[in-house]
Amino acid sequence: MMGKIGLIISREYITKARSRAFILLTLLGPLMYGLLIGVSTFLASQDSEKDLRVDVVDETGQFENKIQLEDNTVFNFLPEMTQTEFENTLALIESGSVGLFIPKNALENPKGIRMYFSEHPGSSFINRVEEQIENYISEQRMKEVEVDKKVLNYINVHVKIDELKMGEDGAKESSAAAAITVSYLTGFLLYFFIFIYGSLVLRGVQEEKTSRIVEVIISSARPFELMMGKIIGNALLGLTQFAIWIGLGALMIGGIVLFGPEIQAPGDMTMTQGDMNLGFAYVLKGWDALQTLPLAQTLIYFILFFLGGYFLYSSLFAAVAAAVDSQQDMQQFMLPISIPLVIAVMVLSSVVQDPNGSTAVIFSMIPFTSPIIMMARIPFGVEWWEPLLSFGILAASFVICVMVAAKIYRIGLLIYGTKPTWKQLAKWIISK
Amino acid sequence: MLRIENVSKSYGDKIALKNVSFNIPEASTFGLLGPNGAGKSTLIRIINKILVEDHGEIFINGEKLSAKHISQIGYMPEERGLYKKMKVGEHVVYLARLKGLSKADAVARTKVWFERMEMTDWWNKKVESLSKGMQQKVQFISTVIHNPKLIILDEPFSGFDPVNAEQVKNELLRLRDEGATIMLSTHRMESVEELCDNIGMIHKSEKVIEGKISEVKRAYSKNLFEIVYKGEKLETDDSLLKHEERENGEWLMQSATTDANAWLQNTLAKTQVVSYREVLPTVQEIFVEIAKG
Repeated sequence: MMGKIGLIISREYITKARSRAFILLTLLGPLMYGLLIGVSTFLASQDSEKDLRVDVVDETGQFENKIQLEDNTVFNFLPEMTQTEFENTLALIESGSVGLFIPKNALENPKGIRMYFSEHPGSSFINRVEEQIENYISEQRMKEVEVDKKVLNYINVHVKIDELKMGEDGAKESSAAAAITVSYLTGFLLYFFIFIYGSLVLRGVQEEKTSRIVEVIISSARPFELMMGKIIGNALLGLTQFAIWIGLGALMIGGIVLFGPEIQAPGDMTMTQGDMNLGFAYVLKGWDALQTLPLAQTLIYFILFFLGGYFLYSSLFAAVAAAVDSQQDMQQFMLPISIPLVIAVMVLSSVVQDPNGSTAVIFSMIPFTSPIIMMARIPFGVEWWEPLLSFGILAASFVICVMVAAKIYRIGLLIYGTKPTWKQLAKWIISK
Repeated sequence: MLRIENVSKSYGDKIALKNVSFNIPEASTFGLLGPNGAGKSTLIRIINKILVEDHGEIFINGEKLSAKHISQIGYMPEERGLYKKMKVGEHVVYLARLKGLSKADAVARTKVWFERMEMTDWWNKKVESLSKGMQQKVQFISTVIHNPKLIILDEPFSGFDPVNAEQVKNELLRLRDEGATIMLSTHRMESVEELCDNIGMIHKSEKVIEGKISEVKRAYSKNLFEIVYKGEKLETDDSLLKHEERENGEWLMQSATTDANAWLQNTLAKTQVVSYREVLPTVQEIFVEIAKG
């Protein structure tokens, strides 16, 4: 016979898995994510293809036909006028056009070059114009000092180091970009999943308390069984969702690889930190690069650290939900509990930059931050014992946390209308 | 069947129960009375193993109360709810299985009870679509579905319309006649009179009354007698507590006399007596008297 905890798990799992919200989120989640990337890429490309007209007053008289951008931007050189006159004509500037003023001595001392606009044309646009002006000026200066462009090219050296990771089976190509992408992806996903599933537990406990079903349940099952059943049920729900998403993701990638030759991988794109969209594009481009990462290990630890972090936090969430019954009071207790998780996300970028630095190592061992930080380190390759130790500490912590939470939970469930103080919570924890 | 011995419980400095003992015989209905905050709910939760007593012991059929007795108890708390998103049938089956029934058994019994309570077409309805009274019925069924030997109900009739309340009362009496012991905590004294064989009262955390309703009434009797007669109004002295006209030309007299026989003979000599009885206090009156101190 299935034990009581099994019954509670299956109720928790079945009622939620059947709910419209879960089905929609599971099936539409990846679609919505794809759509988001698609729409933002589309918008970004739209933006750069906007036909801008740049009215130029060039006091040097040298830049006409020298400034050109790759897109459809038109540079409209106006007859000579003073800066004030130019500003006056631009007072009624229309959207979609900008003004560029180049002062007389720009070639000698390129300062005081101005761009006027009513709508900001975007910093990348300004960068490109700056680059054009820079190129022209340096070309002129090269002529001035009689340096051949070939010489300059010869002097300007670009170095790209090939990254090779040494393993037991020799050197393997490794891609920092792919590691960074996976690292961010798993770090953020863990953060979101711990929060999403943790708050499912929180709301479940809250519902049981406010609907007053809880007293009937705990007259049949122990509060500990109810709490654990709820936590495990939602964990299974999360794992189901992962499984479906991994399946859908595999289908998608498989489909792209087989039927999507026209999908252009981004060219020479530089990875910017936290740029998930670029990261996603990289996943497509760098499928080979991705395979150089410890993927199986990453996936297994992802599940382990999700479970560990989720158990730790959701037991605390459950305790808070049991102890208080008003929303405001809940916020007050949730804040200190969630702070470590937020800190983990905050140090994520420095961890990704230096995955074996002391910050990274320390935060990957502290149980409240380790799920996210250890997960961010794994794609870069860590010593085999590091994730094991980290998980061991995490597991021990969640056992303690669950025990503490169960005490608060048991007593808090039946108390209505009053907000416990921290001191009272401490008393509940040490009560027999 | 249920024996509570010197149970005490306090929350911090606040004493909720002080040396409370009750003895509730098998197949009887016991009314647990007491003003709000007297400690009734604490006692009920201790019997349900939701709270742990500080001192004292509880026995069920002579065995010390333990986790294994949970499946023999059916408990309907005062503050009760259901999972709103669940279907009614599944909900009852779930609660029944938590009490240890097998799935098949739980389903079968739920069907029987749904039929008995005229709610067969509710099975696939969501709980949230039921009215409060309908939800109360679901809660009642969930309480008794596993055939508990001890049924504990805290304010069972709040929220019921009179028809449903009657139905539940009849079911309770039937379950008692089939051997179940019922413990009932309520403020509705008329349902206590109607349903209970024995009552007990807790006041300020201590037991103040225990016994058969008739014995308790006798103990709190004020030697009050009542005569109803027909005809002209009698000339009487000021010692009467009541002397008033009723329908059909009848008159009602009440007296706290020490010699009721003499009073009756005296009245018989003067007029036609319709009825004569001793007026015992109602449970309500006893309750108020104790609660006021």
